[in-house]
Amino acid sequence: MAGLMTVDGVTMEFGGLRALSDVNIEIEEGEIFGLIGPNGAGKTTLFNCITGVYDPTHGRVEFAGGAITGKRPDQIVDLGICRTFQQIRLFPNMTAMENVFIGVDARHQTSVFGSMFRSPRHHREEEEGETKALEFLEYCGIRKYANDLAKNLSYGDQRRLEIARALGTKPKLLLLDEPAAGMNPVEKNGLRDLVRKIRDSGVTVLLIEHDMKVVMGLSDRVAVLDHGERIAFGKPEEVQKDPKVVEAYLGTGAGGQAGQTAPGGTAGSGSQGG
Amino acid sequence: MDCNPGLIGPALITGLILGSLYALIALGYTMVYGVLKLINFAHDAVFAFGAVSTWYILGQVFGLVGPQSGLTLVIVLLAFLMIGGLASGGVAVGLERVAYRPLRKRHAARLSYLISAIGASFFATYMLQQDFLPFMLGPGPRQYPNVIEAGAAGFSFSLMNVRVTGPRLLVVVAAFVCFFILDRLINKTSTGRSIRALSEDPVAAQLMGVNVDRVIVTTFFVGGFFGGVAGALYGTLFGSIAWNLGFIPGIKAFTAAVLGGIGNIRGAMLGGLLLGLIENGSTICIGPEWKNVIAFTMLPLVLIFRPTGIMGERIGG
Amino acid sequence: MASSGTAAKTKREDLRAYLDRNFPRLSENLPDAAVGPMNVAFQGWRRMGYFRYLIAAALMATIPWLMDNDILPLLQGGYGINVLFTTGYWILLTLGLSVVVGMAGLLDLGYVAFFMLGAYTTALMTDSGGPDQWHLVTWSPWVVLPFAVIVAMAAGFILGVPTLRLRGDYLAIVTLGFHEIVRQSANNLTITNGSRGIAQIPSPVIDLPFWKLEFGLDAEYHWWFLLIPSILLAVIMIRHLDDSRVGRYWAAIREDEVAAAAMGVPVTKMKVLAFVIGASVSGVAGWIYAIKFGYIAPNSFPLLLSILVLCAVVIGGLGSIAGAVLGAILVTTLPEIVRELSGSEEVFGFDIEAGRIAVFGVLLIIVMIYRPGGLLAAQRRRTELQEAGAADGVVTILAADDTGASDTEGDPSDQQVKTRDADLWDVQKKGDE
Repeated sequence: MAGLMTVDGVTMEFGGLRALSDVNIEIEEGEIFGLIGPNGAGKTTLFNCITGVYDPTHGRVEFAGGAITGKRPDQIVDLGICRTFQQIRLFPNMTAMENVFIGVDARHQTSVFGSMFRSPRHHREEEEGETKALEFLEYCGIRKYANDLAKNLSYGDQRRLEIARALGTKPKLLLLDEPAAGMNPVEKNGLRDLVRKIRDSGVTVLLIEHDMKVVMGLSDRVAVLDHGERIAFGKPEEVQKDPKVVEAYLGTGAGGQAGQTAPGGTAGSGSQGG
Repeated sequence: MDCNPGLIGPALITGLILGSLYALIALGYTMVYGVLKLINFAHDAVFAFGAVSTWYILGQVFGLVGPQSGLTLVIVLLAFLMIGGLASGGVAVGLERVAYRPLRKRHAARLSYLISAIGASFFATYMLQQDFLPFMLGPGPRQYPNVIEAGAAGFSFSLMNVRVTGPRLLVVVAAFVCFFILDRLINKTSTGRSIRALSEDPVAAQLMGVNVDRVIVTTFFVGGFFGGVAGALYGTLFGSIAWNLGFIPGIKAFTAAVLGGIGNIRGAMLGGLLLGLIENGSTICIGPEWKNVIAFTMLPLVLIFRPTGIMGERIGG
Repeated sequence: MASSGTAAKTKREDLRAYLDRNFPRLSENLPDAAVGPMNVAFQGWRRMGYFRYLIAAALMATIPWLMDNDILPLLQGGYGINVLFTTGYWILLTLGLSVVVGMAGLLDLGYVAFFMLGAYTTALMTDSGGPDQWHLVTWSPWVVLPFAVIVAMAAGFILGVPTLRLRGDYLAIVTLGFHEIVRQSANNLTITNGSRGIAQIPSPVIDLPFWKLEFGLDAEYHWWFLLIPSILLAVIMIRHLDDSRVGRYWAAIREDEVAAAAMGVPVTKMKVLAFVIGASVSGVAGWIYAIKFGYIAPNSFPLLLSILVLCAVVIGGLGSIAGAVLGAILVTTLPEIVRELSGSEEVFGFDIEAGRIAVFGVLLIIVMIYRPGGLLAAQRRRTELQEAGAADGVVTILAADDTGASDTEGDPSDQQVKTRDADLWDVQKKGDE
């Protein structure tokens, strides 16, 4: 195992608000890394800093040996990082296949002139692209919706389509932002299998998830963010026992939500099968 | 480039006068933007109706010609501004009904609103160019009732080598008064509070019981009202109007609104004055024929270096 | 209802059987819902490949002949040829703007600025004007063509790079300003001869050992023959781009800019590309305009023209090539037909020249409300423009301005899951029956 991505002292400020302060994370190749924390802890902000949506105020992110801070989102995709969104952001009026095709296009080489004058490469890549897009849909189990508009898919399938689209860019590191949100238990089990399958195919996964059963069952290592700071880090079972983590969750999650999100609560008791 | 320092005074004064006018028109753009987050491309036609309605009602129907004085003048001036304001406010509300609300109810894409507003502006402007209804201007320019004596016989004083006549003074004073009223309205009344709430967070405002349709209509009316006042002032200032009078002031005022930070009322004021001063200031060193070029170049320059304008985009103070 | 449904079904089965017999490959690729006479004709037309452009060219070439021989009921003779030419360069303009507005989704209100730059480049690089006229060079119009295109493209690039990072509605006003900047500069500069404009722009001449032709010398339709290849080349170029990686990228940017960037789409680069491609077509139109009329002046390019071209694109159909052509015809040819039919400059006391603009204004609103994709909408645009904001569960005032990824951690399950409605083909089916 070797370090794939290093988040080194990343701080992000919006006006006076400090969303992340001095966060350090190292992700190793081939693992599933879980990122948890209460609402507003800065998890999605960290994703945005990694993928070039935001420029961190301080600190740097290194990926595969080179700094990626300050690069544009599309350049970061070229280097091999791709993400999904917490609030689904598909291209709603394009078909599922076209959605994945956009991802696949990121690895294509046809120039504008190639497209305009229909170069041999254009024809080859259009054909290959279609095949590949269908393969990724198959891989994520939604091949049968290839010609449906993305907005017409069910919620769980839209989540899968986002993953298929991201896989289309051939990432080395896949960032999943709450992929199980809004899914029913059956869909969640399917998702867990899918994420494992993706990891086993050699893609490193960084996962934000609220559902403790999903995240604890999947992750090799876990980091906990609270108020923009990394308060715990390690193997899932160690983190679950960490008093600071328990406090962070119980301190913020009032009422019913505490039971749902506290790491010790459901992870141990619920069935882990899938 | 040869500069003429003698022109500094006139540039400042003209800049202030035209700037006040731009600022008043800019209010309409900025208010609609503040609430709906889109450019009301038809506001130039709304502004034009302020001039056209006063020309028709006071000039044609009541046959008002020639300068007035004393109390009559005050009453006539107030009538001018009110009629202009009400007419334009009404046009703005009608515009919202026809060109915006149906799209809102259909959840149209942003582009659709802009295009529909351009359509409305086109329709209104080019109907004015026809002449089959009495209030239409027809293709040529029309004499605007000159209620304030602007010639040698009238009130005037000299400031920095510029003769400040009644109409010129009126524009600046009226603009500042309007601003004061609007600023109070937005920041101190419950209507203003609803407008601000809708501007900050539409979803939350709705959940808290703000009647969206009513607030939007109010916004259009208020913005239109001040546009209409500006229209009446425009007629008084220049003495004649033509069917396409809204066009250039419309673009300038929009530029001013963006310059100051669109959606922000004090920004509109600042942007208007600034634009007036810059474009007229440019005549000190560059020929006056480059005024518009300077004004339109300002816009991309400001946006590139300060994408939300000088004062940002919050509607309230 | 039921019986008519069955009748339609039988018809469809007949058509399917016919296709299976005669065009098995076409039939294989058509889903059941798509089998209708219009759609089959359309698919068949597309399958003809480049051959269909030859057919189109041949059809276009016969129009002047039809006009000359008074076969057409309207627009006969020399007058008709002039209308035809105007429609022709307008088609170039609408095609170019369709790329910018329809395909890349950028509202450009100053598109005619590029047209103007193409025309002025042509004037200043050929032997135009009187003895006092300043020239950059005095080359043949043929040689100048690529320069007219390059200047227009360069202007698109220079305007695009800084401004295309801005929010959409700001772009509209910046481009509007750009039009005025270019027009007023032409009006103020001495090298462009100010408001008097430049006259005597030479016509191109074909001078081969076996063929000598000076354009426009003895027949006006020469100009139309210059337009035919220009239009077809523009159509082929745009269709190829739209139906490729570039077109998919544009669609993605239109739909969700943030998501597109996150999937590796170079957003700004693609927007600038759309601007430059649009400008290039406009540059060609400017070149043809300059050499055909031989005279250009700042007043020939009012801001109104930019907005009228936009009207044409929007009414015809955003992002659709057929729509762009239809739009140009509606805006240029239709008023001429009305004028000819009414036999005067006025209809119901309505001055046609100015009144048509008021009519287009109303049309814009109606189209945006009832048919947001335009009369001949591109398939994808149609669904897209109809319900941009409808996906949200909560009623928002407007579709949110997606300028940055949100960091809110709300519960997404309140998002409505929409029922699966009829597939893409259904939209077309309506037109078939």
